[in-house]
Amino acid sequence: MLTPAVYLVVRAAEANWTTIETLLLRERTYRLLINTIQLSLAVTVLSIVIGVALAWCATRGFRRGRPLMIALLSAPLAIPSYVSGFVWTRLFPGFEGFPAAVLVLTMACYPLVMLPAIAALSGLGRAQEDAARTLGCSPLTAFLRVTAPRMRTAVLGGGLLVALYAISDFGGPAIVRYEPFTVGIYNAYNGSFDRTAAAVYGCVLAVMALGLAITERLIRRDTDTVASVERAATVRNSPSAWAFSGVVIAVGVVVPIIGLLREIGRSQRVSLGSAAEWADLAEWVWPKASATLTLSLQAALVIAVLALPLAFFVSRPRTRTGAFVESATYIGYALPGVTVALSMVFIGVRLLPDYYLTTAMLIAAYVVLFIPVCLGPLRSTVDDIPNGLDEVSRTLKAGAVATAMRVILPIAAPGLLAGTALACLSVAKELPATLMLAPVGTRTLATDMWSLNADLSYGLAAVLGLVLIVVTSIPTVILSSMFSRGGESK
Amino acid sequence: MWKRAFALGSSAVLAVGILAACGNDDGDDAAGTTGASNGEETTLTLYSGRSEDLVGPLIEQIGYEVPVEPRYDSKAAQILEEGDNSPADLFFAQDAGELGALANAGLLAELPEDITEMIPEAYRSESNSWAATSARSRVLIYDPAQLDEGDLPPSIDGLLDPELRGQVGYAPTNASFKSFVTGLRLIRGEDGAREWLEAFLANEPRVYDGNGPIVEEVGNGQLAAGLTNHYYWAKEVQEQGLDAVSSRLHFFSDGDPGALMNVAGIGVLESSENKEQAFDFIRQLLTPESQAYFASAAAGEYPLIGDAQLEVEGVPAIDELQPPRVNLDELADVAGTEELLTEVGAV
Repeated sequence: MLTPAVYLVVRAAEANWTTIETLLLRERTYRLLINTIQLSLAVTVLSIVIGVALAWCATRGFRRGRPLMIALLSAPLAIPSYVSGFVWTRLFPGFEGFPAAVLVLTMACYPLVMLPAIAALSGLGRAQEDAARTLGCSPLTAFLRVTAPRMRTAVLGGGLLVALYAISDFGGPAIVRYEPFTVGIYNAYNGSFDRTAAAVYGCVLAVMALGLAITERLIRRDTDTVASVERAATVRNSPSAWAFSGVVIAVGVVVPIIGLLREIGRSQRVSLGSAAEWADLAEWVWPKASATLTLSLQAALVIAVLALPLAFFVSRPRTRTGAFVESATYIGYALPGVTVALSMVFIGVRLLPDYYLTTAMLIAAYVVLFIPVCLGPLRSTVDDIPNGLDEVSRTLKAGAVATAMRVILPIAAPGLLAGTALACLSVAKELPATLMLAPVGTRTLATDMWSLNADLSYGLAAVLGLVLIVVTSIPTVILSSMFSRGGESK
Repeated sequence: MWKRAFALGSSAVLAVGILAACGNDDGDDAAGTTGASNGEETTLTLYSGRSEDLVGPLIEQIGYEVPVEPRYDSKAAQILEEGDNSPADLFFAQDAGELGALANAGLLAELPEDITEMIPEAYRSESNSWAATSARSRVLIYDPAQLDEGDLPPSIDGLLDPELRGQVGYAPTNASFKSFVTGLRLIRGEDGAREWLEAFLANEPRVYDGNGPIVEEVGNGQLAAGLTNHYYWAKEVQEQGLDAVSSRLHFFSDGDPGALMNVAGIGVLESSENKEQAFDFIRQLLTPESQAYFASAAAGEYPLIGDAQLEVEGVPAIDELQPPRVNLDELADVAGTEELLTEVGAV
């Protein structure tokens, strides 16, 4: 987990004061930092608003089709930000700068809030809201004043992930011509391979990440949860829930799909006139699609398995070590993928040469990069397990294992499933680590889409983009149908 | 108590189990490709900075003669981090600057003379550490609806004209732009280059993330002109057809820095245990047949050997161009260029 941090320290230690001075202490660095902070702030606030609203829609507003809707609403997470940025600038020439960057990143990020929030909401009953209603609150006020605070840990955790993503992303803002702080890092890897400069910038990001993680931890504080038996919340078909979700899906999924279809239409290189041409295309796409699906499922499974014990370690009881471990896990997520990937190259080729360029090491890199997206939602459900519940179970003569399996795991399950879905989607679109660490010959939809895009083969890239959206919706449908159950229909 | 036990126990057992399970078969594959087994049957590992779409068919073809397993879209930065432990035998680079960076780090082996002598003198590396494979020219892509071909300047100094304020696009973080700036420094000296860059930035050029977006925005009329490499336009024509592409190319002339001719090239890693075979691979890249591939619409570059002519309409033949004379080895000083770009505030 600390691989990127060790690597950064090793590389940054090569810098002398003059280097740091010329790189950091100049007006441009300050301007870029302001850019990134503004962007990150706007994206985080918007993602929280949209994510919470959609979580309400998904758990209270749809009587039917919930797993499908959740999958559709999660789909934007699987679309790399540079692809949606590309689509927006091509569909609407001149749409660029701060508003475009905010739109592109918000669409890529709100599922990071939405899925944990759904997981949290699906565990909450209606008793407290009912009480509020009898005291004269409107349904909305009751939700905002009674239920929303109970989702706080989940939403804060998601918001932290969004903020970290927003400070580390480069491709999304860059393609809509908004310069983020990470431009210095990409510049360094694009030319003289000045790894020292990249590491100095990386350290700044790591410090920001730790700051954000600590802030979130302070705001979160301890929740005092009490065990309560509640009737499941009422689920009705709400027209406004359908309408709002429809708008988000239109902006986050339909527009990118239209843009991709348009590229396919414009391209001379994709022709689908005959069955044979379809078959050729399918034969070309299949290995990449299957590699993407296999890698993301394997990685999501490993991440889930590791995150589960980690979530208990960091949240119950809360210790300084736990706090440190938790904050450390966020570093990998807050750094640009290329930095994390190079750190794995640096360490991997020296310490584990036999595993270098194997699936095992690639998956290890995915763990370092994405364990926080699974840990976040999981931890918030674990935090909400009432204190003493395990002792109660033990006094009823359940053993430690039985308690874990029959009491704790079912309560933590929604968070675990939501986190697994997030990890799966994040891995599916991952680019730099896959490019550097995948076994020879393994190509994913994301790597080839990026490569074709760079060569202006937009039509073929768009085919892969569409396949990526479809392929990643499979695990999301399954996972969301598992955790979105419950709730009584009326 | 159960929390800790559960935490530590399950994480260790399950994680190791799963990692080992999915690592096994691939581990064997990798060992097979990188190990130096006996003689001719070894499969080379090629790190290619160039994409599969661009050079995949050519590498596959050569692979029948010299077995090779390519890893496309690799970066020199990865080999620099791998150092002597790199599994790569060859690195096929997008740009002379990348090869220079590896050569400067002492990671490239010296090539045999018969290889270097196959390459025209102007495109040779004097250090003998890499071989140029194809050439590309820097160009100004422009929108004929906004700018008249006749009015376009013969030199990059014409881009400093206040009439072009805010209308020229460039990609400061892109490797090929940096090579252009390195060329500018070599031709006009450090002060001359700084002067041009400062005047260029004062004319408010529009910053892009790469060459693709520049080509796109000139094509849809958002941008009047942009600095890029000629083959990006060739790729756009391949993608959409000449009729659908409204932009055109303008080549600077008379040895202007803006007319820099850069090369893609390939080098053999010093750490490779299959150097002879890797040299054979390079020889295959330099045959007239292989070189003709670079001239095809799929690559759209200038071949260095043989008589193949570029098969892209609207791009002049290589002997009609008037590039500046630059020692390609010296293009490796990208660090100096980045220092200058940082100083003037472009990056």
